[in-house]
Amino acid sequence: MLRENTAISLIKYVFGILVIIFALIIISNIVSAVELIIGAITISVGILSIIWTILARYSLSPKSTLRIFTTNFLACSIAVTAFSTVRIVGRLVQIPWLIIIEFFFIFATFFFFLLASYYTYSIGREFGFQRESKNIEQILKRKKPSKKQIKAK
Amino acid sequence: MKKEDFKKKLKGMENSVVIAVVPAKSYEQTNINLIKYLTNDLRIPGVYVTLNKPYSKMKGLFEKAKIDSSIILFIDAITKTAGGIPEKRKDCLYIGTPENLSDVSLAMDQAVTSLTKREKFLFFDSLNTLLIYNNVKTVARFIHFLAGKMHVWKVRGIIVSLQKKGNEDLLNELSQFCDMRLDL
Repeated sequence: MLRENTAISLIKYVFGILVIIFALIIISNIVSAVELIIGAITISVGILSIIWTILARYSLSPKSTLRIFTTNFLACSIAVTAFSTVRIVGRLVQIPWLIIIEFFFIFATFFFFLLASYYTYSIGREFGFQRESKNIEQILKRKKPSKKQIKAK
Repeated sequence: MKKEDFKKKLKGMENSVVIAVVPAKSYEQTNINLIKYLTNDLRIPGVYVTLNKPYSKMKGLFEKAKIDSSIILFIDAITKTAGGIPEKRKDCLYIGTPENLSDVSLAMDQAVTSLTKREKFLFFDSLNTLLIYNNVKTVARFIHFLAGKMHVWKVRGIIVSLQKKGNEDLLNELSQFCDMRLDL
């Protein structure tokens, strides 16, 4: 019984390895260029980034600063993924005017990137309390606790 | 409750989260007494989150009670700002609306972590106002998150709630996230 199970497992492993090798041969025949493989990976990463950003966006309060920032970041991710997709399609079908769409998406990417940077700057300016906390630190240094305060602690 | 009474209760409650249930009649005075104890007596800097009264009003009340508000950072989520966008003026950050819990959380995180002193406090005023603008489930989740954060930040956390008949179930549920319930 034990030998039978081991034999079945071995056959499964060998079959699995053969399937992977076969799939790799087919992929390498279809996609010969390294650029296309890298492009496909880039698009997959882009799509994953879009999904995560959408999930984050929906869990944030409406009209919140973080949500606005996330929306811009989402637009940035969409634009860069679209650019990558158009680039791959351009390599496959060789249409000359696709370069215009490529330019459009790269411009959009930088535009949304600029907006996201501005919101990061706003978040830092509005929500940062470094200056105020330094003032508090100085106030506390200047006014040393009295005996009563030490006793209260 | 007299200042001396909660002094005893709060003594030795460093780095812990307290839910303070206050009767409506003495609500303002109790808050003032708590803040006075933390700032004037213990000399601890901290963050005051107001969802109830505007910063200008709170500042006035503190000055009247001779509270040293120069060591407090304020987060005002009730004063309306232009377009509901957060704005900072002096030692106060205006969030615009108590519905905007993401910005309230972000502001609290930044304000508390900016204070370098080992001992600090976070005063959240109040749970009831939060319930006006958000549903019970959201409030419970927010307080759970806040209590957890207060432990991570290692602050003396005080969450104020009004003594109300309808609140009891929620307060019982929230008490499990906190280290102590103070009925003042």
